[in-house]
Amino acid sequence: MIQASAAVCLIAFNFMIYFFFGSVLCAAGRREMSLTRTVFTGLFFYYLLFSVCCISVMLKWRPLHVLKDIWIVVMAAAVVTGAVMSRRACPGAFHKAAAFVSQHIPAFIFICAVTVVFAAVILVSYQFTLDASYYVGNTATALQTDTINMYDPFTGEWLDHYEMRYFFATFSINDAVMCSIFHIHPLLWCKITMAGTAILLTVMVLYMLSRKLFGTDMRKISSFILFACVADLFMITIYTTAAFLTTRTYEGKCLLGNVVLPGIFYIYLCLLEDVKDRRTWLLLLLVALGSSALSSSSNMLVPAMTGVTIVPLVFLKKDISVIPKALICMLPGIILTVIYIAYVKNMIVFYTYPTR
Amino acid sequence: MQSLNVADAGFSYIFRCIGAYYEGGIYFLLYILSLAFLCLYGGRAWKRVTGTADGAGIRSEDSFGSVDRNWKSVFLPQFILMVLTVYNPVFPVVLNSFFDVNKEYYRFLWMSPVIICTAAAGAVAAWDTATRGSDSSRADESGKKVDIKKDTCVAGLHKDFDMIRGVIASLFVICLLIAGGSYLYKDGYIVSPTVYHMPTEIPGVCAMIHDDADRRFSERKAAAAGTEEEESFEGADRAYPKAMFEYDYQMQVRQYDAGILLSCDREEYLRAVSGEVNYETAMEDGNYADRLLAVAGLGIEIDPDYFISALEHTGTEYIVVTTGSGKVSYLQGAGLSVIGETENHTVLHYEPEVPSVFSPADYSEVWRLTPQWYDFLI
Repeated sequence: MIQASAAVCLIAFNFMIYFFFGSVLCAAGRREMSLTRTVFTGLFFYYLLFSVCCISVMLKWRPLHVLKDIWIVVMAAAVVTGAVMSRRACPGAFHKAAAFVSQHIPAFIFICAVTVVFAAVILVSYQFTLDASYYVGNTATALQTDTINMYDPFTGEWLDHYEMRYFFATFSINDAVMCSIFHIHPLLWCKITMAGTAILLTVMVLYMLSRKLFGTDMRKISSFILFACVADLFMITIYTTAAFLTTRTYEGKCLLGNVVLPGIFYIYLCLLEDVKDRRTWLLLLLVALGSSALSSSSNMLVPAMTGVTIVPLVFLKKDISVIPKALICMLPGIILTVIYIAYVKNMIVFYTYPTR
Repeated sequence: MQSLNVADAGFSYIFRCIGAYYEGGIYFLLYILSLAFLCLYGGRAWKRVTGTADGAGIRSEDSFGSVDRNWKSVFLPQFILMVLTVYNPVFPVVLNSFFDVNKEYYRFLWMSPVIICTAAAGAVAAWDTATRGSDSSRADESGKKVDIKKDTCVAGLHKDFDMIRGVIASLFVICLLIAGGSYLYKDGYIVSPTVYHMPTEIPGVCAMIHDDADRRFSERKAAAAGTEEEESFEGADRAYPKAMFEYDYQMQVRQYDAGILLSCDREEYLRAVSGEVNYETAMEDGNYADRLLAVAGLGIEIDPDYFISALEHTGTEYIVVTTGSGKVSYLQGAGLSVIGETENHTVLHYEPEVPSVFSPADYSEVWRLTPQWYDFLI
């Protein structure tokens, strides 16, 4: 039970880390920053940096504990840099947020209550899902063998090559690294900490969207979040994003469907207000780069979502420069998809041992 | 979607895909209605305030801080492009000629902001329609904002009344969302039996297997010392027992304890439970996995010699089955011995003629040959 409590506390740690990672980018040279947008930015920056470290170590067949040590250094650097960068903007942002909350205390109590009930209903329930045997199994296997993607999570047998479907999706290896750092069981990390993190990130993105849609009208914002949470519990088939949020919270696909894709929609709303905003375009690029770590499906869905959501801005804002910018943001996913197709067609393979 | 195939369904694939995705729920219909509502009602409301129908921006703020925005530009452009691409019957057929999209095409449907649009329409319907008529800050016919909050007492009454109407409308929206879908816990809400979100007996079963395997490993290693077999223990510092479980345990055990190896992978087990494994396939030459699946997974009693050959060939030493099922007596009859029991499960051991020793791959030579700057961390 102590470990379960620790797992719950680590949800706050995740948000703190995302905030510091986000601060590195969001607070640079600024006197104002949005707390939610900083966390949102940090999430993708975090996974982008992790992917770079993980793939570098994996391609050299080094053990998991080397990646862990490197990642501790990167996280420490991000925390220090983020704290320094945001030293001016951060107090103001917290003060502004506190002032806004104090103006709408009943609404925020309501939103918090909805979120806690929603999260508790999901986290306390028992769900038997087949995919956990791969994703959580991979985390447990990496920890057990002190390797990265070199053993089959289903059986524990050694693999002679890396499975490209999961090669760039380093989400479960990040889970293994964090389990190793905190000495926490993979099941507790995946099914409590990351599940809770995914649910709170989902609600956070819903809040960000609602602020864009309804301004400061907390009646509508509260209703919007309540309706979305109710819909997430009732729009259930094995295929929907809601099903991933409520039953497969340990997967990167849960974040893809409930944070990344709505996040791109949020970016669209930001661009609708100011299509020239360079920071928003950079955020979209960061989402495109960082989301491939969450799930290999991102490589297909993020470019597609960017296409159908962002490209209409060409007509709405009568600005042709949207096209090259959107194409640049679609490029990471397209390149990774091409690499995967090359693997499927037996054109490339990364072995788990040196071939020369 | 496993049950749908683009090649078979052709142009009707997308309709079947949408049907399977929403499973007859009305959420897709709610999405379309919400979109229409926001475009028609929201567009009119925005026009009333600004006197113009285009532009994407915000609008004016009312006394609640709410913004009047042109909803047409929020959800409609993406929907139109989705209709032209993802919802276009030709699109999956064309795409499938380049890549196999049968299993994953449904994920394109994730791009539609169904929940966001429905929830937004619900919020607008609940509060705008409830308060529009009595909003203290609204536009007159010429589009100019007029403050009607002249009598604070009347305005206060209006606000209370609006709040009640808004709450009632919200409850109506919630009822609609509940009635339109399928509840996640419709078959019952199961509280996780352990903090690990695992069946309670898995930790006990794993401990039993490890205790037994570690003891045997030590004995075998000691017996092999000074003989030719000593080489096989090189690099092996502990036991990695290989086991076979019934379906649900097989899918979960390595999440809890990756130190236990499994004889069959997920796809093989899914093949078995979907009816592709039977007595005949199990008795085929060299079909060792099917023999294990037939006995441990499906309870088919095959010739014990065939089953033992499968255990020997795959290096499986432990079988875990439900206590009281016919499997226990069959396995005991085949030569396995019970090493322990939990409340509902029995753990049996098979002593192989030639025990296999699993040792993790040794990469130390690889590290020496390909030095990296961070190798001091190893």
